[in-house]
Formats: sequence, C-alpha cells, structure tokens
Amino acid sequence: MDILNNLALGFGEVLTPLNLLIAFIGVFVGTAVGVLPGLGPTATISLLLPISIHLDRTSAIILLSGIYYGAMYGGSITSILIKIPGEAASVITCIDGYQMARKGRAGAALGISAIGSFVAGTLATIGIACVGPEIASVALAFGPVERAAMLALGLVLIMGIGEGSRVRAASMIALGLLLGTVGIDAVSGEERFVFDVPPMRDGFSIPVVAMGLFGLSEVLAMAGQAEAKAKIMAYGHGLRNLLPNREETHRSVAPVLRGSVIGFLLGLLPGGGAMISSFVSYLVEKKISRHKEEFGHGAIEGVAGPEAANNAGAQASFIPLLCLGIPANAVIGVIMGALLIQGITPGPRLIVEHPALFWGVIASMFVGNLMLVVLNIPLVGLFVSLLRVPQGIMSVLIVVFCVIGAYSLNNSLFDVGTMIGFGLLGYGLRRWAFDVAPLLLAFVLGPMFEQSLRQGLIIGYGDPVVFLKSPISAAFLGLAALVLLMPQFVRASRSGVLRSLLAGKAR
Amino acid sequence: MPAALILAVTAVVALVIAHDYGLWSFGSPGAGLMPCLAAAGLLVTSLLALRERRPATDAEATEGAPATEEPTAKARLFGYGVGLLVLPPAIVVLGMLPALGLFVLVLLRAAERARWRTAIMAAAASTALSWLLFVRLLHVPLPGSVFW
Repeated sequence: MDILNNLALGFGEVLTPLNLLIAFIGVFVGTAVGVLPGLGPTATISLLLPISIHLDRTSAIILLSGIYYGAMYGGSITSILIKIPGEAASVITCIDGYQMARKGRAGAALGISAIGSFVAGTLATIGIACVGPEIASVALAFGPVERAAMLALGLVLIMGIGEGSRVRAASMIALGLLLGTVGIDAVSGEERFVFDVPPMRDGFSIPVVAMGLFGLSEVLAMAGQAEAKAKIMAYGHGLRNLLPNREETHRSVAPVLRGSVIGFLLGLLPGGGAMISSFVSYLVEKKISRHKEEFGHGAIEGVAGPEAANNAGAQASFIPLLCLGIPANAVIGVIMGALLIQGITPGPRLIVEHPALFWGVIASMFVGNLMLVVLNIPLVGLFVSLLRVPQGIMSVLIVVFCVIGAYSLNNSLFDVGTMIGFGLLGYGLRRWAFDVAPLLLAFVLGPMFEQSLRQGLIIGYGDPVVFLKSPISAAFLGLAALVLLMPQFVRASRSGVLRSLLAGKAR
Repeated sequence: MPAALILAVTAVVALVIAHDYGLWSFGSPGAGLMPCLAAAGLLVTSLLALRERRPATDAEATEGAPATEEPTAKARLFGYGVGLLVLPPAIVVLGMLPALGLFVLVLLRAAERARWRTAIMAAAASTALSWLLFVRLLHVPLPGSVFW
C-alpha cells in the first residue's frame, strides 16, 4: 500500500503539463543525440546543465533522465540501420539488428527495440519502486575486488559473442585490452604507448573507435562488394513489414522478460553493470535459443534481449545514485552533478528528505518510456525509408557524418584520423575473419577492469588471493573458469578422451 | 596468414615496450602490468590463430568467392581507401565542410560512377545539412581552411 501511495505522490509530481512537456523534450533530444554519431548523452546532459538550473528540482531531473533514456534508444536506431553504435551499450544490437535490416526487417528490429525497451523500462520501474531501495545496499558489497571479478567474467563471456572461433575472439579481446591501455595511466601518471603524440595522452575515445571499427569498416566492406553501386538495402513496405510479425513478437517475449531481469540486476551494480547487461543478455539468448544458427545473421532474440537489458539497466543505474549517492556511470555522474547544483545531496537520506523528488523520478521513468514508444513507433517508417537511399550514396554520407561526429567530440582532427585508422584496421581484421565486436567490447571494459584489478591488488597488498577471499568475487571467477573450460570439457568428453583417461586411471 | 602474424608481431613489440613501464613497483602493480598481460594474451592467441584455417567471411560464404574479386569492386574499394587517407590533409587545407563536399563529389563520381547531377546534388545537400546541423544548431566549431 505504501508503494502505491508513494507512486501516487510521484505521478502527482510528474503528471503536470509542464513536466510532461519537459519529459517529451528530454526523450526527443535524447533520441536525436543518440542518432547522431559522436555526440553522446554525457556531453548533451553536460551542455544542458545550465538550462536545468532554471527548472525546479524534479523537472530538471526529468529533463536530464529523459535525455538519457532517449539516447539509449536513439543509439539503437543507427546500430540497426547503418551499424554505427550510438553508444557503447548498443554495440550488441549492431550484430543482429543490422543483419535484420539487411534482410528487409529493419522495421521489425526497430519496433521490437522500442517495444522491448518500453516493457523492460516499465518492469524495471516496478522493480525499482518495489525493491530498489532495499536491494540498493547490494551495490555497497561491490568493491574493486568484486568489480574486477565481475569484469573478468564479462571479458570471458565476450568470447561467445560474434562470429569466428573462440581463439580469434580471444585474440580480439587481448587487442582491445591493449588498446584500452593507451594514454596516461590513471594510477601512476605514466604515459603508455603515447610516442610523444600529445593527443594520445587521453587515449582513444570509445565513440571514435566504435565509429571506425563498425561504421567505416562496414562502408569499406560494402564498397568491396560486387554490384554495390546502385544497390538499395531491402526495406519493408506497409505497416505489416514495418512492425514485428506474430512469429517475431512471439519469439521476443521471453528474451525481453529475461533481458529486463538481467538488466535490472546488473544495472544496480556500479561500474559498467548496465553495459555488461546487454551482452550477458545476448549470450544467454544465444545459449538457450532454439534458433542458435540465426544468431549473428539476424535473430530477433539478439535484438529483443539486449535492448530490454540495456534499457532496464539504464533505469536501475539510478538506484545506486538516489539511494546510496554512488553514480553507476558517467551519465549518472553528470545527473548527480545536477542534483548537487539544485542543493540536493543524493544518498540514503534522499528518500526521507525529498520523497516527492525520489518518487517523481521513478514515475518519470514510466512516463519517459511511454513517450519513447509514442514518439518512435510512428517514426519507424521514416527511419526505415532512409534505407531507400542507394547504397553508394549512403556509404559516402555515413563517412561524412562519422567524420563530423568524430571531430565534434573534442574538436580534434586527431580523432578524425584515429577513426579512419580504426576503420581500415576493422576492415582488414574482418577480411581475415577476425570479428571486431569482441575487440570493441574489451576496449570499453578494459580500462574499468585494469583500474579495479590494480585497486584490488593494492587492497590485497599485492596478493592475488584477495580475489578468492571475497565470496562474490570467487563466485564470479568460478563462473568465468566454468565458461572458459566448459567447451573444452564437453569436446573432450564427446571425443572420448576423458573416458579413456578415466578408464586408464581406474586400471 | 598475414593478420595473425601482424597481430603476433604487434604483441611482441607491445610486450617489449610495456615491460619498460614496470610490472610491479613499491609493492603494488605497475603501469606495465595490464599492457603486458594483454600483449602476452595477444601473442598466445594470435599464434594459435596462425594454426587455424581462415574461415569464410559472410560475403564469401554467400557469394561463394572472396568479396573483392570483381575488378570494379576492387577499384571502388581502392577509391574509398585513398579518399579516406587523403581526407584529413584535405580538411586542413580546404576546411572541414569544403573538403567533405569535395569528398562526396569525387567519390560518387569516381568510385560509385554516379551521374554528375546526382553527385553534385548529394555533395551540396550533405554540405548544407552538415552546416545547418553542426554549425548553426549545435555550434560545433568546424575547422576552416588554412587559406581563408
């Protein structure tokens, strides 16, 4: 009953004409930002911070969080249509979403992405309202040791993503980790692989690497295909082809529900939990699907699950901030800044001292999600019609927007050159059957993993056993070892090696 | 297999450089620990990949032959490659928007063999749209030419 009263308080706060308008503006700007390559939600929210000062507290947070949800969805649009992830969590959507688009099912992919995000967002909102504050304390159990183990599990799981052998995927993960170390070391301040090039001190930025590895390499791959000149990518005609059909909807229900739970639970964890949730969801779906062979070639489960997880994770990541004062990622960090500017210190006292704000933000999540669906489902046809542009013209335009997007990140031509370099690298790797998705994911997780690993080792006075002393960390590492060794074990048992070994031992 | 070999060589070079950063200092992990671990992993896995037979890529699997066998496709790919490499210096000399406009025009004409009208229209439209969106709306200070 308390929850209903609290939600009523929240909805009372949000359902004013002004706040509804602000929520709409937030998700609209967020979607636009997500679609544009380069300009991410962190930069946009930072740019809009001065505007939020003129709004009241609840309205300010509704605006900024609306941008966040909108950008999460907007990132998926470019992932599906042109294989450029708008932000890191959309990388997974590129794999099957883009393949669906190539088969003329872009509308279905975009539709299921919007509907899945809405369902996941709504379930996450209910979860947050019911148990969020209680289980937020779980986040406190996550120190550097546990985080390093969780990220190690994440890195092992990446091996199952994408195409090609596990050895090749492991190779790409190692390369991604190596590229993630470029720049000034955050602990010692030492320059690593900088080679006296000043812009290299900041390392490579994620959007630049993503645009190069995915966007530009795809342009080169299209250019290298026969008859690409006037080819138009298959696109759906009419409402029936623009939305998921009955079979696709049926196949998406369970992945969306599973993705919502995975996203909600992992989103609560600080340090990349929301992002990891999208590829944990992908791997779970790939593992248990009856259509395993379709993964990587346009499986709807590969879009529905990660998109739901991604959105549920984004919303759950508000809970550590609102209940504990811990920002789970950079975007939430900027929103925390907005709260501080408004004179509110996020933390355990927030729910007691500012219940209207707390429950208003929770209610705004529901409203924001509803607006995203209302805004984007009618636009699916418009987005899909972009595919009617001949492939040759589309390729050149992708290059133009990638170049300006890369430049606009830091107003640096170095970023443009870096993106082109990664584009050529990505194309070369793909030509030799190395999948670039594990590379990018490891590149994103690498710096977080290194920081947690080193902090963990410092906590343990240099003794790696510290990672086995914590039950949470030990469980993650055990799971990682299981995932790593299971295929070998299964292969050995199938080939009879294990049986003959055991028989030999018995004798 | 060139890619795996290049990766292995990259790993060896990175390993040598990273070793100088120090693996362990003052009882705690040094700046070189992670790069060394990553480079060692890259070396081992790329050597293992060297032993593998290269699987067919998607395009090859569907078309039955390597994707870039066709001469016009090869020429187009070469055009894109050269265009991308020339683009950064062209931006410095001409400025961002003129260079991109020229890039669209030349690539559509030379690599995509589009008609002049189509190429000119695409170049003009993309330049105008970029100016409107990034310069006017988002106030991104796009670089100008060294000459004007």
